[in-house]
Amino acid sequence: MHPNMNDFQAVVLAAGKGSRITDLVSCDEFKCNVQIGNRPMLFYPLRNLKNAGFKEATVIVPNKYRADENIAKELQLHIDYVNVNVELEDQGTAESLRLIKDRLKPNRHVLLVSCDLITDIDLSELCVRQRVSDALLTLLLAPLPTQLTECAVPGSRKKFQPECDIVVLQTGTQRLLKFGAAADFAENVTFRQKLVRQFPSMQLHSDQLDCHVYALHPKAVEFVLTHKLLATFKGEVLPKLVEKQFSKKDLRDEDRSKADTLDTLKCYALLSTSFALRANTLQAYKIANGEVKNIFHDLFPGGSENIFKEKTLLHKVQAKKSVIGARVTIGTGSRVLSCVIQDDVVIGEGALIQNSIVCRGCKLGKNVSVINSFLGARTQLGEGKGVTNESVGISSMEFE
Amino acid sequence: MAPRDKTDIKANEVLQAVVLAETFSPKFQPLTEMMPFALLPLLGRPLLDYNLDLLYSNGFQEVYVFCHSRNADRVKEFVRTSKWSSFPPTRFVVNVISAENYVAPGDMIRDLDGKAYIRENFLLIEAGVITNTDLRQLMEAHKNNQVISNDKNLMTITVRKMAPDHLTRSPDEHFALVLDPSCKILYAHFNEHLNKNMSIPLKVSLANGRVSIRADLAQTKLVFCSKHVPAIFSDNFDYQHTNDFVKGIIEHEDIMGNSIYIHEVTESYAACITNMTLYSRIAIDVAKRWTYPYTIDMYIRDCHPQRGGYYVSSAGRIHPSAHVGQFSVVLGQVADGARITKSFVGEGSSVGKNVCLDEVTLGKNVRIEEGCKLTKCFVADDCVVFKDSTLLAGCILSPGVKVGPNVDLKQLRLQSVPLEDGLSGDVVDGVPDAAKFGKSCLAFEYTEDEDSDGDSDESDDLVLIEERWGTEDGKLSDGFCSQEEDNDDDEDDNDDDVLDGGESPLLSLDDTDLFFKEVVESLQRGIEENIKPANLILEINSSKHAYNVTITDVIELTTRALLTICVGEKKTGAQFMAVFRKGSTQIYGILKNYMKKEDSQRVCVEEIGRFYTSLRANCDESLIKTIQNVLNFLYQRDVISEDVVLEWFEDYEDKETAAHLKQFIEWLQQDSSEEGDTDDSSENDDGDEESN
Repeated sequence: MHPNMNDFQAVVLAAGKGSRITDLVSCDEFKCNVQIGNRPMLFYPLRNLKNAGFKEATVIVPNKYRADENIAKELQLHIDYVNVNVELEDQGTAESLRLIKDRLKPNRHVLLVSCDLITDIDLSELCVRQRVSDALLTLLLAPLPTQLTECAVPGSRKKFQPECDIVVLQTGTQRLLKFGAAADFAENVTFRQKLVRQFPSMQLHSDQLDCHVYALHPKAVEFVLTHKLLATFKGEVLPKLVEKQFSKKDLRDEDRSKADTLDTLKCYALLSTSFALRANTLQAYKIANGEVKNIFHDLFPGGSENIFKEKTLLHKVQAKKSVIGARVTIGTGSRVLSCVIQDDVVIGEGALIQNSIVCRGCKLGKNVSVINSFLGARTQLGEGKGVTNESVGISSMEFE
Repeated sequence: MAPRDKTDIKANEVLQAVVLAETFSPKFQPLTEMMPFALLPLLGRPLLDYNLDLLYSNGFQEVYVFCHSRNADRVKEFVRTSKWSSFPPTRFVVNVISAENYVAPGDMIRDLDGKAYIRENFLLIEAGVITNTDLRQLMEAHKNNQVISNDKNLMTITVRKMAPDHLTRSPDEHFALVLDPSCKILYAHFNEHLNKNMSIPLKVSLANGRVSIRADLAQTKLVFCSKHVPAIFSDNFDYQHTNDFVKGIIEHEDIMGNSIYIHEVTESYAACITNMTLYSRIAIDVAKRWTYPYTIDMYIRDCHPQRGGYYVSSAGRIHPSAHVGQFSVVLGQVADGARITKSFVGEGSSVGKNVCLDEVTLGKNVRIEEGCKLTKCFVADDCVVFKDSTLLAGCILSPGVKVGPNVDLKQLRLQSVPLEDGLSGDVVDGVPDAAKFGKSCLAFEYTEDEDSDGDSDESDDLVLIEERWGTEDGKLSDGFCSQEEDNDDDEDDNDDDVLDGGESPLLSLDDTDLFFKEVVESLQRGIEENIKPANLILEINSSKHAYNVTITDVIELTTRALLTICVGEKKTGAQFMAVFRKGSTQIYGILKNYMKKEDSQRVCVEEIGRFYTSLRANCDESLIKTIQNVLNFLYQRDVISEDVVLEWFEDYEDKETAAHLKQFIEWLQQDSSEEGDTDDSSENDDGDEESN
């Protein structure tokens, strides 16, 4: 039995617009609704919370989002949905937290989880870590999945370039000493001599995924709530909190007596070795679909090669490592390899679909070949057409 | 080239070692004037003897000792008379190699290459190394690294884990490493303690995924080299030190595929004497038996550890009422009432009544008379300290010095003969300064010749701590980064604000800033002491090369320096103009010299514009108005041409300051259209000033 999580409040950030996967989002209206393994993305982090021993969770969702009651029912988790106006308040994760200020319970640690997290890491470990070290902040790191760079991104020829973070930890204690996106560093990662002398043994990681799971001390929450200018959590708040550990300026500043505690608290990281992925890019979305059955054996029993939303009759169809949605028709003699086929897709006979994402409502004629491509919602491909390394049928919404 | 074959004939393999028996640093002066560094005694035993003992007992067969020609005879003599020359040549051979032109370790290694003694991997060791580590194990580790790296490992550097402020770690060495996660392969290393920051190239970390940054590993100066190392030194004649070598190899790793490995010594003692502080600390460590089996009782057979944790030889005499503390070694005589802690009393030395010694090394036949108090001192052979004298905090007495009675000395380095170089000392006449060193003295202060130390002139301001034996330890450990500059730069209270004309506070003292300081000093002196412009130009030019600034910077900074000096504390425009006119007349030659071309003049005028813009924030309006007088003045003196001024004015963005220029510009425009002559310009000059 998991320990009591009464000192933690779980907050799931699900109000993102999914700016890197707009075409996928346009199918499902909201980012948190994007289907992974035929379930809404939001399901997975909530499941993690449930497994970690949480009985309730606060979920920040966009204004028009209507809650999917099935999730709460299936997980037996009390979910408190808070709608925020995404259009107006598109200001990042820290802002979301400020918007639900009155829903935050006093003197609780906050476990901040992003809705696009696909992992089997036990989040209670992170909470334990946070409690034990009485940390200002604990963040979760996991190795970047190798699958991300193994195959090409659907719809392009390019290899996937994961975003790297520079994380510096004290060897042994895993105390967080420096954090930032690799892109934010020019040519060098610079350390003060003083820091180097204070922490003479450090590890610099650039191959870790920041899972966007943060355990925050009440003081850190307070910091976010009071510093209204800091918009994003990862980009702005986190580096600030990390720096806070080493600045003595606030100690001198006598007006802010509370700052003392903020400064004496330390930041830590939990280095997990389990699989973790953030489904925030097309590539990650595809990998996530492919991997869910491997990491959640109890959700996808049977060890079948494919995931089906409902019983789909596949007559003489060769399907491998694919996720196939509801009401999908696939013609005889077709081959579907390492693909994501969303709902209501019709595929003609003798088609070859490989390493591709076929969005909702697509109609593909006979003998089409779709290789390493992305087909946007309701794309129609005539008989015998071939598409390789292309993105077809992308809505031009984003340019308007 | 085929290592596999070599393993078969391992039995015949000869272990070779190279001892770099010079220190190349002034840290031990004046001791190293009088004796070779390698023969400096540590607890009565020459450093070279420790080295040879170490090498012999680890089965090394060929040792090459490199030293400077002036020390060669004494080193050779030492080796000849020691037991190390008594072994059969197949067992242990010591060759002393010397040359006149050794100015850095690199020269020695190049010489080694020329002589082609090296057949296989060899050990490179500095004379100051004191260790009891198993060198064979390290050699195995080195060879193993070569196998792993496919023969691309050129060097295995041995390090020992020590906290950055560890006592046997040199406080002026800030050695940080960037290693692979298993802490074996070196990706980058940092040795400059002058930098406030340490920058790790992003590509190093991205390419390797995970790297370790270690500042808790100190160099032991035990380096295992592949046989290719000497040749690489020869190819790169600018490699002065193994650090240069390491840097060069790492930076060209991509091309050559060569690598440097690190081996951490975990279970043994290893340290290197590079300055007097370490000398003293390591001496205590040896007395504490950290270096077993290389301890004092193994060298001086009749010197035995006593119940109180100290050593006395059979010739040593300690008066029953004297107190000898732990880790002291007494080979001489100690009179009643003396208190000795952590000190070494050499053969034939005598310590008088009620003398206090703390962390003191006394050489042979030293006499410390009664009532003296010595702390952290080195007293070489045949010295006399007359009664009731106090020597504190890092005094070094080279052989034959006599001081006292009744003097207080602190942090002094004394020698028994006058300085040869009459320029640098105030004692030139060969008569000891009795007032300073006591009436029976034979002592001359040794002052470091600043120029002899290559970097010292460049880094004077930046070397926040130079190792100084005997100074407060607390200061040493934190001195690398003073507290004031610890916080974000933009918050710094910069006293120079006024001088700078409100320029943004200096982010850090980079070369340009230093250059600016030099120029200010040069000009100030030029103005005050009326120095010939040609000399000042020489001075500025040499600073230019020293700080590697561009000619544009020179013009800019010279202009700014002139204005800065003149502004000084002046409150009103009239005062400023008076100073400015006088100043720029004095250094007219300089201005003229640098601003021959229109481009340079433009730079100058732009700088003046900037200067006034920055000035406006915090000074009197009358001062701002002087901009046109300044420009006019320079124009009248033909330093700047009117075209330059007019062109610049069109682009000048600071409208408020520009308003003050209107009169002058209008006049210039008029002037240019009329091809005005210079006769009435002087009137105009005066007119302008009165209007202010």
